[in-house]
Amino acid sequence: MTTQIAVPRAYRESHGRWIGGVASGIATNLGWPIWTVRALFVILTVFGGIGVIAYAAYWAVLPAREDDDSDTVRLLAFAALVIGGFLLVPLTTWMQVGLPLAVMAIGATVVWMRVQPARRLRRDGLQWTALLLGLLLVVVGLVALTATGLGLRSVLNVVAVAVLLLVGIGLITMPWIAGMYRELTAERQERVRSQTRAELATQVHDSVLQTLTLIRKHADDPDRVVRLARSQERDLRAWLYEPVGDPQESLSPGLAHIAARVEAEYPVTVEVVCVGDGPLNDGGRALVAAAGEAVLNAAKHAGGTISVYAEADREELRVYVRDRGPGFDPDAVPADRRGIAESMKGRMERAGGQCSIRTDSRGTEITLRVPA
Amino acid sequence: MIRLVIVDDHELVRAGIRGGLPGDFEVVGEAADVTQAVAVIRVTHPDVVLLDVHLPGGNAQEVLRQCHGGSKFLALSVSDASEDVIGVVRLGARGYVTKDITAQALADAIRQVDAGDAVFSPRLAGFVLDAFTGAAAKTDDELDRLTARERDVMRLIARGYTYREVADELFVSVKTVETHMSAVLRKLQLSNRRELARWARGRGIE
Repeated sequence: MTTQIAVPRAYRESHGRWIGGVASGIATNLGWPIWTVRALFVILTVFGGIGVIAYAAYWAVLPAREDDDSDTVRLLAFAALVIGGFLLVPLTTWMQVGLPLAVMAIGATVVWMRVQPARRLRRDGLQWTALLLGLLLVVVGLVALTATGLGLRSVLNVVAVAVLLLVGIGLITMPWIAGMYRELTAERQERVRSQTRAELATQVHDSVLQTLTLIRKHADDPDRVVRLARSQERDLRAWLYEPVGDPQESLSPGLAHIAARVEAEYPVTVEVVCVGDGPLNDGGRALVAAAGEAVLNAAKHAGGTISVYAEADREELRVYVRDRGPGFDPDAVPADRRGIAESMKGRMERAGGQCSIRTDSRGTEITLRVPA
Repeated sequence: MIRLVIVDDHELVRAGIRGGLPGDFEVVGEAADVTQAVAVIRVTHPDVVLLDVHLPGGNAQEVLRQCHGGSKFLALSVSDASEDVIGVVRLGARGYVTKDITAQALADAIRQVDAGDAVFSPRLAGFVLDAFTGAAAKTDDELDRLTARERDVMRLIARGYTYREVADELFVSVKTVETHMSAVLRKLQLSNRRELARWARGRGIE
């Protein structure tokens, strides 16, 4: 989770400006009287020309509130200021102060831009390189700054002392930092564990415990008990092993959904086998709906085990629904069965597919196909 | 008389299987984990081992690795995870049935395995088709693909047909159907190349 801190944005103000509107912009942003900002720039300019450089930098960076000056004008003004700054400040000062500061600024910018959560950093070599480069720039800038007026020897001494100091601080704080890191890691792991436990507890409570209660209540109704156990098993297995897909979106979850629904309502076993899986278009959804009718029909009239086999390839989706019932004569069936058969056929034909029914004394198989 | 070892970590399941078997089966040993299973199988030399796919202390594949040759294996599971099932079949199990199988069907399956035939449930047939799908067009190696006939047999079994019905449907004898199934089993076990291997790797089967 990231928190965004809103910082009021500074703009260059176009009215009341003397040069680029930088001072008035900053004054507006900070709520200071404009003359204090101007005075600040002037005072800074007196000390080594920093005021001019800062002004130029702000001008380049701050957007104008109203886009009144064209880019060329802005660029020219910027260039003039930079050149002016160069002229104003003695060259030696530039070499001694401005350059090291600029190098440090660039280094620091690189480091700040690369700061990311440690986990992501670990995997990305490029990030590390950038980070090290940035740090190196900062160090070089610092050394150059301290080197002003000192000999190389003294600089090396300063660096050595700094390094020793850093190592010393590191050694002293190491156990503390390590301890904190360990604690943090342990805490995070514990949080993950307790979340998993809570999720598991919820799942077990909502499903298994509820079902066991129901089973105890219906102990004298074996049919009901079998159905409860089976639907619970299906749920639990889906939760444990299979990612749940959207029944509306692809074939395999669609058929699994049908099987679960029918098994919940009728004392039958629906065995679904899918080879390949595919996203459902309108035709596919019609196919799944028709398969649902076929399974329901088999559950009502045949019972026992119903085999649903589905194949999906690039050209076609096919579903076979087979039961072990006594079969029926398609020409001499009760009106309701024919009705269902006809509605299945009609549904498939409207979707550009086919429906065929084969039935004999060993059972009925309905074949549904639709272009993928 | 078929001599049987039952490997399952649940006493209840073992008892259920033992109780449901007809008289011509003799349970010569039982085991609840991989170590016990290997020991029991080495001592008793059973004809058929009923092997639960999920065992504590390693999985069933370990038992197959340590005890190949001699006994025939029939995998038994409640798990629908195809990688587990294909995994044990690739290591030598001659078939796979789910634990909700009826005692009668289980006895038949054990007899078939003992006779050297393969046992394909609709679900296993589906897994096999899935594993070989896509391989056919891309490879010339016949170990890596099913013949049209073998595919027909697998599809009919996946559709819930009995071996008898498959034979009638294809106008062949039951023996021929069994031959096709054994051939598919052999391909599944021998083919460790290309598409199948890639499929297997993709699902975590080595």
